[in-house]
Amino acid sequence: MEIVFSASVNSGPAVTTPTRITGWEKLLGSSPSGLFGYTHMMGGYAGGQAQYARVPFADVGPLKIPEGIPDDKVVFLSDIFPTGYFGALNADIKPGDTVAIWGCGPVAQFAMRSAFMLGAERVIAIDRFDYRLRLAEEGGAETINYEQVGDVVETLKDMTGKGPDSCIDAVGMEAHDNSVMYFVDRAKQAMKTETDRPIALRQAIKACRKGGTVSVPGVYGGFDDKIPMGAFMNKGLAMKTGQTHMMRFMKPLLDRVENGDIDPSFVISHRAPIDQAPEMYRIFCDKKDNCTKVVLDPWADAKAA
Amino acid sequence: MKAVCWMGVGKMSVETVPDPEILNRRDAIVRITSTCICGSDLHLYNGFIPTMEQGDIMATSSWVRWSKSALASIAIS
Repeated sequence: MEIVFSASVNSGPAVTTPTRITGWEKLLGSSPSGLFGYTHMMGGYAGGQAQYARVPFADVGPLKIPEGIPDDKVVFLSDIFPTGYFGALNADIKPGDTVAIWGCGPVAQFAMRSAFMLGAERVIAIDRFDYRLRLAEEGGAETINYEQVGDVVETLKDMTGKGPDSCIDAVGMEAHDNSVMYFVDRAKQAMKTETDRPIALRQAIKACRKGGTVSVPGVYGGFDDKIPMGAFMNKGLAMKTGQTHMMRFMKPLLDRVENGDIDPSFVISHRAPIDQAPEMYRIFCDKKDNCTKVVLDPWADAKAA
Repeated sequence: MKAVCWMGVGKMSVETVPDPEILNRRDAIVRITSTCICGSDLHLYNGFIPTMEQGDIMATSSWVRWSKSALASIAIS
């Protein structure tokens, strides 16, 4: 429920754990904003996988939804739809552009559709799970299964000539591929000398055309090695990233839902009562049963009773 | 109330926990009607982000329907 935290908490949350946040200020440079259910570094606020929640600054954050719109069409306005849209917006897409997106998870699916909304002519989506690549194709994207091509960067150059105009890293720190660098990153993580695996980011920088833009909606947590800064600088790339300012996008994207431009419920693959959450976490994490997005009903047992 | 709680790396559990309470003037208590599991939740599930504590209630993404009493509390304050 970042809907409340996009700006208001930055003005001074009433509840905080100063010691921990102070510690991380030294590490990160400044304290990030609070988030629901996302560590004590981010304020220690209880999250929304529950029947009730306390919403701080409730007079500022939440967005009123008109009557008659079902939850399925608006539930993703609180996070992944604005995040995908922000990822596409940060890619500085011009009409007719070609955009490459690493990852076909839920945020990436919204980023692809947002890229088309913002004027992209071609969207090329990269992943290894066929069911997610098919979902990308349903949204109009061309696809690359990186386990079936030798080199993603070379494949993108073959498909586009000069490289994509924009590259979106919608994978983040838990990237996977079959290259030597993946195993090097894993080894460094085990030795605590690197926190993240920036495989998608490295490829995005290498693949992007000269003067293009790299957008990073993918989440990173700490320290990343072997970033091709030489390529980044000498190709004159721009990079934009960041946690999404949800409040900026919720109303405009609600308008698009109401206008019929997009039905966000396309991304739902599983529904379950909250009691099945532990099992659903495993299915979602392991991408079993063609899982894309899980929606939980906090009241399912009560209704059954 | 029921809540999905982080009990350790790779361990989520549905627990009965105290209902939330108003702590500050601009708080509201909301009834959640739909919630999701997010990729960000997996960062915590897999232990990538520090400072989680056993029993922390999960989820960065969800939706709510306002309870009338919550709206009234904001208007009064």
